[in-house]
Amino acid sequence: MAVAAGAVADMIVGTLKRSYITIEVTRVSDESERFAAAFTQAGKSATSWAVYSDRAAYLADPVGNVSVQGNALVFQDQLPTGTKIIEMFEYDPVAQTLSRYENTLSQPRSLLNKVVPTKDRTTVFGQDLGLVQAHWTVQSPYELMDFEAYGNPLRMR
Amino acid sequence: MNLQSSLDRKMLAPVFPRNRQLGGFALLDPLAGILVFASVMVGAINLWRLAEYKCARARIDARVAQILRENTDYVTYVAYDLLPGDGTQPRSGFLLHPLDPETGRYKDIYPFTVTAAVTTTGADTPAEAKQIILTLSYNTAPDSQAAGSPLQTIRTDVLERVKD
Repeated sequence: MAVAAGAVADMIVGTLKRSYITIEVTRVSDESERFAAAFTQAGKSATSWAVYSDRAAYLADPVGNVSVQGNALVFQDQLPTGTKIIEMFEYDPVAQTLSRYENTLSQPRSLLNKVVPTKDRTTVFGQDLGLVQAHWTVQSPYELMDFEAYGNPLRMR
Repeated sequence: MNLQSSLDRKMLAPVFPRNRQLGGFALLDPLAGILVFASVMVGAINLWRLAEYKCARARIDARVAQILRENTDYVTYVAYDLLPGDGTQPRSGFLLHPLDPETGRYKDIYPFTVTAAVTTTGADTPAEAKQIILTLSYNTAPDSQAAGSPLQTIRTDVLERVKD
C-alpha cells in the first residue's frame, strides 16, 4: 500500500512539474510573440527605419552608420502634430537581452532574456530588398525557441 | 459431566471453521492488493500520458500558429521578385526543441516543412499577380524515423500579391 501511495504521489508531482514547465515555456514564448507583434506594428506606422551595428553607431551618426545588418534597429514615426517618435529594438550580445525602447533610450518597454541570434546568423536584425526583419532564439531552461518578425516595407504603404 | 463435556465440545466447535476461513483469506489478501496496486499504477500512468500529451499538443499548436504567422508575414511583405516559387519549401525544421536533462542539450522533435503552392495569373504583363497558399506539414510522432507516423497538414487562406 505504501509503495502504491508513493508511486501515485510521484506521478502527481511529475504531472504538476510537467504542467509547470509547459506554463513557463508558454510564458516565455508569449513574451517573444508580443515582441514580434510590436516589431511588426512599429514597421507599419514608421516613416523611416534603419539598422545599425549597435546603439553606439546609431548615436554617433544616425545617417552615416546605417548598416545592412546589426544589433540595433531604429524606427522613426511622426505624430500629426509633427512630433517625432523614436522606437529602438536593441540586442545586447553580452547580456543576451533583446529590448524595445520607445521615446526614451534609457528605459526599456519590454525585455527578453537568454536571447541569441538564430543559428547561422551573427546579428538579430537585417534587411533584404527593403524587408526589415529580426531573427532570434530564446534559450529557456526547458526549451529552445526560434522566432522571426517582419516589418511592413515602406514601399508598400 | 457428560453433559458439560458435550457443551464444551459444542462451544469449541465453531473455533475450528473460523480458523479455516482465516487461512483461506491469507492467500486472497495479497492477490487483491496486487490487483489494486496494478489498477492504481495503470491509472496513474494513463494520467501521466494524458498530461504529457496535452502539454505537447499545447506547445505544438502554439508553435504551428507562430510559424504560419511568420511565414504569412514574410510572403505578405517580401519583395515580389523574392516570393517563393511553386512547390518550394520556404522553411523546414523541427517544431519543438526541448532540453534533454540527461545530455544537457536541446533535442529536435516533430519535424515540419512549409510548402508554397503558387498560381501566377497574367504572367509577364503589368497585371501579373500571384496567389499563394502555404501548407505546413508535421509529423505527429516526435521522431521522424517513427514507422507509420501520420502527417498533420494545415493550409493558410490564399495570399495574393500583385506585381508593382
